[in-house]
Amino acid sequence: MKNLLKINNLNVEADKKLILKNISLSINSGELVALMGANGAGKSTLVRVLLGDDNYQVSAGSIKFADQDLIALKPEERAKSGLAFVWQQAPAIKGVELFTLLNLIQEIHDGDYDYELADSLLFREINSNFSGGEKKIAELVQVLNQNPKLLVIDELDSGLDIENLGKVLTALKKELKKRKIALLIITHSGAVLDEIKPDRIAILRQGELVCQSRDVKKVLNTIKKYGYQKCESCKNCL
Amino acid sequence: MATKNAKAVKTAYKQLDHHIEEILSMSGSEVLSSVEAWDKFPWTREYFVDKPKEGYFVWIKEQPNCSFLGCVSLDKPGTKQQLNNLIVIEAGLYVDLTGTCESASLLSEKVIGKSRSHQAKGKLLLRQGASLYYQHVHDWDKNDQVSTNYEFFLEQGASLEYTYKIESAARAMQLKAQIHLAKGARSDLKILANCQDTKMNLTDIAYLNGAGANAISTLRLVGRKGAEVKARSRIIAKAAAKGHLDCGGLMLDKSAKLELIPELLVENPNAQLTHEASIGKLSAEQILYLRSRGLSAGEAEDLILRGFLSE
Repeated sequence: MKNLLKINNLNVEADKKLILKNISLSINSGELVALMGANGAGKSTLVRVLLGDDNYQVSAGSIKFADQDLIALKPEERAKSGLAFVWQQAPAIKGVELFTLLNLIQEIHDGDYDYELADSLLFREINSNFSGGEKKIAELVQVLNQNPKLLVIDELDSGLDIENLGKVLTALKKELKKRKIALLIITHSGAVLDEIKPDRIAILRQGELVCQSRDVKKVLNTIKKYGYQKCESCKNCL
Repeated sequence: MATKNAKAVKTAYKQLDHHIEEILSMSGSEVLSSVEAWDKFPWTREYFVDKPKEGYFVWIKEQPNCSFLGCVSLDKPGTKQQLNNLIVIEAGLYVDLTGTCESASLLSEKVIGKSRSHQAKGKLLLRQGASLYYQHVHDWDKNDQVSTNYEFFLEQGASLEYTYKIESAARAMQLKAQIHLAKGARSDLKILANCQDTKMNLTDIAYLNGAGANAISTLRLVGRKGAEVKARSRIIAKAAAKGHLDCGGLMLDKSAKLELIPELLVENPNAQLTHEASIGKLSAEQILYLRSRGLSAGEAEDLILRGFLSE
């Protein structure tokens, strides 16, 4: 299967401090990958690098996305090439209604995903006084209108109550399957992974990728039993 | 496409330099030059700031079934307008007004010695229970000079929604708006200013004179290259009334200088006044967020700015 995303020996620095070390990770078209790790392991840093946040500098390695050098692309070029993000903490855009942004997104990406899921949010200011769950719903409707090839989700379940989590997961699973969208999902929640059923799991620890496995259940059980530290010494999964 | 309920828009008054180009004649209202009104209706002398040389008088006596448009423009080099305006809206009427004050032409830097100026002062009287929805747009050439001083008098239960938008600033601007609110009157003032190559002095004051009056003043300033803006927004509560100031500045250029001064003055223990004020630059996080949706950096900045100015 063809690599959609290929991260090769990536080193990332911020404020001259090495944060990600020698990361190599590939995701194929339509593949679902979970990325886990303790707080501060570097998960969100990896997301910021994929976004194109210039507070983070790639000091070594490469990232290819859809056969392009991702590092050379501007954030909007990354979006147009099929990379979309569900933000963990999406900022508020005061004075701009969600409906306005959704229309712009549809225009840019020729999207046609129904706004219905975010119906009650359409004429409210983007992410302003949205609950955690409302933010995630708004995020999902935006990214599904970007016609993504790869969806990167940073903490889907943060702030979501069970009812809204179910709503979001149902919509997400349906679209992932229907459109064969690849997924990189960062989560701490086993419940989310039970629903998503990722093809593979990767573990980050202290800026290094210490485990990649197709036996998701085994890795989750190991983490549950022994914590992320065990992933560093356990060679069974690699 | 016009909807069934859309109101027709009628030009009430149009002035170019010192020349009145259009003036409305419509039953239920009187629209005259201020000079004529001074002579025809002696009662207006109580309200005109002084004997007018030019300007407009608009007196709405019956409920109109249309919206009104007023337009005052500067064209010839050397023109110095001195408008003295009066608008009176009788009790219980609802009026929708759009006013534009603008430069009809660019003033070449070669004729700076013959600079143009627009000076306007006026009063707007809203009789008991009257409502005015007023959008006032300024769009000036960067070489012009502008000074305006308007006073609104809201009688009992009257309401005012006034949006004052400066799309393009003149090189020197002195702007003052004062709102006097009687019992139960309400005002919602929004000043939205896009400031570049200008020295601007803005003052707005709401006087809460009657119990139950309510004033909200919102100020949004965008500081671009060469902008030097001082804005004082003030509410004075003389009665058991409520007021809120919301002042925001956005710095888009390091040469811009914005000064926001919110002031609350309470002379009645049962009054409730609040304020919020902030000045900052465009958020890198907001820009990255919108770029991650596919908007270019410029489109993202424009959208954030549009939002800021429409808050």
